[in-house]
Amino acid sequence: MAVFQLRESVLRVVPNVLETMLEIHPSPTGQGLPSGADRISAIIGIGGDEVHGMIYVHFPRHLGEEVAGKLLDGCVGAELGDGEVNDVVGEMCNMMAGGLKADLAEVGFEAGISPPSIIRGKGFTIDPEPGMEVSHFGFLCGKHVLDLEIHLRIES
Amino acid sequence: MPYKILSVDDSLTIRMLVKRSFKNFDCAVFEACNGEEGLAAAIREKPDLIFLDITMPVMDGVTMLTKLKENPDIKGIPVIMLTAESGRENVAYIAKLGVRDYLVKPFKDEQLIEKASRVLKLEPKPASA
Repeated sequence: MAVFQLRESVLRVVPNVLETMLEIHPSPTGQGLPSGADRISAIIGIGGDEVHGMIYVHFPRHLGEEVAGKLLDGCVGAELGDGEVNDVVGEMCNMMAGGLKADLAEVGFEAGISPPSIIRGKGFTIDPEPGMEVSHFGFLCGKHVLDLEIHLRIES
Repeated sequence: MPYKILSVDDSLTIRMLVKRSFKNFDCAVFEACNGEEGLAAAIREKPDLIFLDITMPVMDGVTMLTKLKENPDIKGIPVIMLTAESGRENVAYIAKLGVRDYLVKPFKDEQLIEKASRVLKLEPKPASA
């Protein structure tokens, strides 16, 4: 069975989603979101026979609002309340999770993904389940940093 | 008579994007946020085309598609899957259920229109009187 290359997958999937949907061209960065940053985070679970994990996409609040405004520009009846912003952030996470899921399947790890959930706030931390490998990937989007946090356990 | 397009997706964002894509065409876009509501809307509205997501609460897209194909009144409605679920095995399985086409998210408005144009003869919305 081939080895899943998480970094390569993330570096392909995240720019693909942001460029296709938003014409945003993110650059990978070593930075993460500062602790205490006001954020909108989308969470999706991924699970299969040999793969288990959680995918968190942390948008700084201002980036989430900017992205939602840009994506829904021109939509009939689009009012940009918290619900609409949450839905856009959740859908961005869904598309990223779908891409990672497809790359996992390509190397033999079939899995399902859950619908997204949203957490808003600042100063919260997420403790991984025992045995999960935790990876962070920062992407510079204009002046904001988008933080993709992945907790993954692959049994092979 | 404008075409009827049904967008079945739990994401409000996607339903709004589908609506925006077709706003300049002579189409009426209907919405449903899960497979159960989608099936009811398909029976009620008899749309000319359905865009269908897979991962949804209450009833997922694969179950809705299966039930749609079992119903002689609506089984002929063309369905285009619009989903973040890619992967060869997944696509192959769904293709066997009888979908017209498959569009993987992320997508651009033009791709939606191009896929719909393979099924419908889209015309610009007539100028209002």
